Amino acid sequence: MGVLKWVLRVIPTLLFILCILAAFATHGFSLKSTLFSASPEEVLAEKMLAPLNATRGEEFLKIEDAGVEGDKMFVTLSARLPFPANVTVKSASLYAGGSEFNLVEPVVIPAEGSAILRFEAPFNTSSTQQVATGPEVGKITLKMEVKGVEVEFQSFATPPPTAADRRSWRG
Amino acid sequence: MTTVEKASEGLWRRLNFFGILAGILTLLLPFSGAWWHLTIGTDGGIFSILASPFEFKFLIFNKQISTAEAVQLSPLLWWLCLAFKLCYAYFGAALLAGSLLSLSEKHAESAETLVRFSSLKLLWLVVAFVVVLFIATFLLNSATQLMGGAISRNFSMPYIVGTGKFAMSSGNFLIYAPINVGFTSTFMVAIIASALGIASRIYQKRICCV
Repeated sequence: MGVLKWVLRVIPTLLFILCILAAFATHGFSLKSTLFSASPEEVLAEKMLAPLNATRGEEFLKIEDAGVEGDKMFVTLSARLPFPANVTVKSASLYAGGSEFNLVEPVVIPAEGSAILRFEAPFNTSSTQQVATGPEVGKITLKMEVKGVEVEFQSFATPPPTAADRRSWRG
Repeated sequence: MTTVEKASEGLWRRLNFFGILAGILTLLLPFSGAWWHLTIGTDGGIFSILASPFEFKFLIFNKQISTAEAVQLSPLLWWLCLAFKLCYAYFGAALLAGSLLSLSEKHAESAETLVRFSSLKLLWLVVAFVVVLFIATFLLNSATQLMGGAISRNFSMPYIVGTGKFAMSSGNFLIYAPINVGFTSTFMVAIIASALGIASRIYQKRICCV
């Protein structure tokens, strides 16, 4: 019985020793690379968040249109999502041409898709000219919700509209 | 009652049913998934950790990090999890073998040794897992408090089971998220298997005394 007891106890110890040795052997017996082969940030950024990185070059928000309709000024932005979850934009505001524009209604941006956010502000003569020729958005505040997580985002500048954008708005 | 019936009844009494069940469950547990989960957000969350002594899984938007990436994250942790898997499959097999061997009077002593050796192993693992979770949560909460909001403005990680909250500001972002932690049904199976392990040890003593 003594032998059986001894064998029973030795096997798990051997298994652990072999596994630890294998971990070191497969990483050149380097403590650092055996503990963390790659930095967690690297793995997160390069592997796990690959879908996010794929769209890194594109802007999350882009000015689509701006102008005056009746007694209101409007700015529309297109929002593009790089990740696989719906995002609800609950409220949002932006400053353009000295006026504060507010999101007309909550918008759901579909997973890995895009949606148009329409902002409106009361008619204001001093701002109208600037809005009509293409607004320079000064500050955007967005309150979003994604899978129970609430995100407040503040951007102090969006990319200024290009000459082509301005021409398309006038046309 | 005839002699054959008496002998048959004696044989059934010698069979350690608790040990057989505990052995099968212990053998299967390493391959049955996570024991505990942490989810940031609701409806699957935006980030989840699934943990057991046999595996760690990370999910972002319900998308699981691959095994190769997990090995890359910490090779030692991955190999240690493999060692735990192999060891507990071995303990399960030993418990199953001991429980079945108790039928044979010739191998009664070996059966006793096998059951005594393997019956409480899962219980200790369950206890150690809960203790480690408790200590890890305590350290995380303490570290967050000590840093005084450098990382998170409002952080309360629930101890082992429950819901908490997390608020963080980073650059232009301000994030509020619910945290949900709890045990999975696999952990309940582990508890049942541990209880059966204790029962098998007690029953094995009775078999030996008969």
